[in-house]
Amino acid sequence: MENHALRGISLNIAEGEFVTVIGSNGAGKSTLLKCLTGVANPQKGSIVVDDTDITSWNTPRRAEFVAHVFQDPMMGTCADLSIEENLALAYGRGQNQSWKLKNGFRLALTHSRREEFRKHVSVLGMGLEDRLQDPIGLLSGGQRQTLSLIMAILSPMKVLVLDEHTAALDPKMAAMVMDLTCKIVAERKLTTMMVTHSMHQALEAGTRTIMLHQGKVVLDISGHERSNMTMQDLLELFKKKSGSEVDDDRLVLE
Amino acid sequence: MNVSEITAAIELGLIYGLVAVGVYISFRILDFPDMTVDGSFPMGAGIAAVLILSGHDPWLATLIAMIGGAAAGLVTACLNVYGRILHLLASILTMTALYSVNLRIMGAPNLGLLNEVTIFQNIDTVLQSMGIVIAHKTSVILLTFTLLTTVVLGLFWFLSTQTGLAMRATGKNKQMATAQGIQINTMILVGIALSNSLYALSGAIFAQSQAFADVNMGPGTIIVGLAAVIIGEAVVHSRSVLLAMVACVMGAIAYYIVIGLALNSDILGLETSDLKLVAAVLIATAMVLSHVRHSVKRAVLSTRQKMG
Repeated sequence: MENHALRGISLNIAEGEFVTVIGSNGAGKSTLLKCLTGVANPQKGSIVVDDTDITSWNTPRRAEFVAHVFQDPMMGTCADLSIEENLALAYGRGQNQSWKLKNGFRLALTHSRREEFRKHVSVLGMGLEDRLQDPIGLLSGGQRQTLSLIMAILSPMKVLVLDEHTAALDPKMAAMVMDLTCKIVAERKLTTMMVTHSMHQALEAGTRTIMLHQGKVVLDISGHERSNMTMQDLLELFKKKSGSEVDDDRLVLE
Repeated sequence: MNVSEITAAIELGLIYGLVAVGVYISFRILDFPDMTVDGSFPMGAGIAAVLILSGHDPWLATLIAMIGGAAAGLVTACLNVYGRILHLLASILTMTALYSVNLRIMGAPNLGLLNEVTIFQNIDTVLQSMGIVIAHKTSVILLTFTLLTTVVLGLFWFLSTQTGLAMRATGKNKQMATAQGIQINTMILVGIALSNSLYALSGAIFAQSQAFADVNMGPGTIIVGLAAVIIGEAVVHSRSVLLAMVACVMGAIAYYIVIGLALNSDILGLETSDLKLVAAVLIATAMVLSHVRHSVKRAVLSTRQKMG
């Protein structure tokens, strides 16, 4: 039997909106993100960013518009390359395109770029600015994830995609990464879509929350309605909308 | 080993150093096990020999040999990227086809280049006109060394550019690379063409220094390249791309010296026909040793961590 991960989703996200996406396993959260980053393509419909239809664009091309922080810190960074080399790759995100090769034959690391990276990294207060030449693989998952966030904002973008980016971290580190995320998003007024497994996180962060169930948007709240909502309310709503109990412990815990 | 045998080992090591650097790019930078080298090395030799025999400038012949090698690499890369054929298999297919192509190019199984004007004779003549007379073997080593140094420095520059960095990321983490906007297919096409142009350059220099090209000189080239890379890594352990490439060249020279020692030692009683066996044993030993070293290192690290 064919199973459609997404069924007729229509979302209109305003510029500067911070959308948190929640749903149980198999609800279609990951697929929604994959459609945005170009890893998966919808059978029907289109994805439009800033009046540009990017449905047919492959992942590298979309990188100019979409910055992606992965769930797995190992995936979002290149372990064997140094911190500064990873940052340089992210710095060139919009320019790594083969058709923009004229920029491709400049040195990736220059003195001025290193200074810029140092500035960006020192904000983290982890002392990483003095370890720019260390391979990024030597760092902890949390450190790598904070660097992934820095990498995401090194180049201009239209959408920031966060794929359960704190799920693999210990609670303390997860809280730190989440704080940093909120700070960065607020400072730069980034249009953001964050998938999370935690209902608490979904309500705490962002300006709008959508809930997916079996490939459909079953809940879409923002503004006043959202700020007055408690986790208990959200659970009730989920039960009503989906006609079933929350079967995923991870949604409720924390 | 006497002096002339050591000189010969250094000469071959420098020539095959180009193969080693190419293998480093495909196997290590791009994580693309490319066997095309067994076809593109004799192809370079063949193209250079044919063009030199028909009276063309040896430098032009060498350049065209490199272009031929790059084209062979592109075929392998296209089979992999667009034809969706496994990289290893794609390269073996190209290598197999190249045997026939090389016979077509050369028109005969082997070509002699004795008394022809090669890049080495060119240099000898230039030096003589300046009043400098050096042994032919010495000029071969000097010129090959100069070419090799140029190639290594050029590659070091390239790998330090934005595109070069993108190529390195492609081989290490494809998912991350695409997310950072890198067209990984383009990187594979460019990288494999580049490494095969180096194999062909090596073949062209080999043909000119040894004064012959043979369609059967290809098989085993990949073994020399791999051995050089693995020996180099066993000796020099560095994250620096430049040092890694220098290590590859040193590995190639070490390979020929060890082979020479093994074949010349009376105690071992090995003959020239045992060459391939010695080569395989050498590579296997180097690989096992580097693995052992890693485990020892890990064990030491974890004990240190446990002890705080």
